[in-house]
Amino acid sequence: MQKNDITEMVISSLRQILSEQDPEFLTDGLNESTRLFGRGSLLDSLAMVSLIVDIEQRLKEKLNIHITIADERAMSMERSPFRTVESLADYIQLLVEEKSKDV
Amino acid sequence: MIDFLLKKFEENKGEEAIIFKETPYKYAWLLERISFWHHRIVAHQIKPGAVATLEADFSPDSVALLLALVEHRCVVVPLSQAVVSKKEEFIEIAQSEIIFRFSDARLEIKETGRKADHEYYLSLRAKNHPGLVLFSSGSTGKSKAAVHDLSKLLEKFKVPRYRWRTIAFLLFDHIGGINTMFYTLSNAGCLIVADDRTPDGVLRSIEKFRAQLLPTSPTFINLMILSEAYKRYDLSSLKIITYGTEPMPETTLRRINTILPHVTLQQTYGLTELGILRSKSKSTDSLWVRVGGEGVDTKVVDGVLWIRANSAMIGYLNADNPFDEEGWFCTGDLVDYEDGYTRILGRKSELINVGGQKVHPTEVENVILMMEGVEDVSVKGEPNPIVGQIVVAQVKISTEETVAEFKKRLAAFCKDKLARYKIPQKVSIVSSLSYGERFKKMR
Repeated sequence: MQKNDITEMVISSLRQILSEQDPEFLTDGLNESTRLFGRGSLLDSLAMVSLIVDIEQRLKEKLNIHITIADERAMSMERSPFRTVESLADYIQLLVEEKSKDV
Repeated sequence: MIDFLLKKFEENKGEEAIIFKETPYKYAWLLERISFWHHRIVAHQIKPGAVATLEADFSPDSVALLLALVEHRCVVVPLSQAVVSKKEEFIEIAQSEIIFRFSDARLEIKETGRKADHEYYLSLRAKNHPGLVLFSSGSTGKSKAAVHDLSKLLEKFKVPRYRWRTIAFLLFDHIGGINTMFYTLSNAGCLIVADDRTPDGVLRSIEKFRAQLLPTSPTFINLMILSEAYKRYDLSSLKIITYGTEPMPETTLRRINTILPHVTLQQTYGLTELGILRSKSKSTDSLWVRVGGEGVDTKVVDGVLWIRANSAMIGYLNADNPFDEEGWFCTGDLVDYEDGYTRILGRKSELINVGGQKVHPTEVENVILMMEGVEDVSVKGEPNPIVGQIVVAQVKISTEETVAEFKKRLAAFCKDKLARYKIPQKVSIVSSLSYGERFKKMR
């Protein structure tokens, strides 16, 4: 899976979560550097969970890839993978690659 | 010990006691059989105080044998079809000395060579009282074996109450099933054994044998509604449906009241450890219930119901004594309490903690059940490293929606009805929910 595809999936999922929260929210400006979680970010912890669950579900249904994005490892990383769209996409790519090696 | 029962049977010899495989058995028959089994027990040199496993489901002979064992002051360990896979383990825990096994209308009697020497058994023998061992469901861990002094459990049946034709729906080894049996027989009612426990099977028995009382669970009531079985049978004889063993969803209660307006819905409350307590619903459409009566004290501590009851068990065979010094038992049920009435919210152990905020599965289930096309739902918590736990829902739907479509509709539907943290984060669609032989939702 290409990094671009993953980034697009994250943004698409993010767009959905944000518009569910507030239908008036303008989601055009979302890009790789959009801050997700942390200071000055778009999401609170519940929305972050929704985003992750949604991405996991998309991977499972569309590509039959089963990964757990939020686990102890992700939580204990020095630089949180949940900072920005890009860092999350990077982390997902890592998980997907690891998964494909397992098989 | 069961003189009051035998006297009642004697006075009602001509009445139907049990209906089994569509055949009625009268009280005269039951009296004869109790005496027959008593002779067999003596012939087998089974001593009072012996621990006897009774592997059976409700039948005229299993009831007669159970009563004969009680009369002989034995400790009875009933094991039904629901625990087949755990049978050997339960026999071991109960230290069963003798096993009565009913299969295909034949009876096998087997001595195990074990010696039942648990201190609770010794205390029963010292008092010359019969006992009863019941296993808790063990849905949250291992099954616990509760030892009851049957003379205490039987006490409440000495007060005459209504005579009903009752469906034996709850099983032979369940506190609710045992209660149904003693209640029905002690008032010379008729115990109708439904050998087919599907909604159609049960409702057919109600129609055919003019049953008046159906003691069951909310899960079964929901299945009855979904299957529309109530449309296929004449249920005019039915007067009361009692429900217990799990919280009743508001939506299900409202629906069944509309479908069967002539039937009174009555909530029961009981635990393997305490017996079935006397209870009275505020009204047929109310989830508020008065629990207790003579010999029962209740209190609420930090939202959890505590009960002290004369009918309480002696203790567990395989777990620590759960009673405090004053004899109170923590039920583990979270409740609201108002003017003497209790409303059961759910098990404390099933409470979901989302980032420190508490969610009752039943509250969420109630809202989802109101959605168009939702047949049943089970809500539970799932560990999540970000917020501790998240709310997940398994839903059975009658529409053709995909998970994504349904989830979207669910989120929109719940938005103004539930706080954000209570709305399920994860939703899956299932073809059926698991509820097992006890017709109780498994979370």
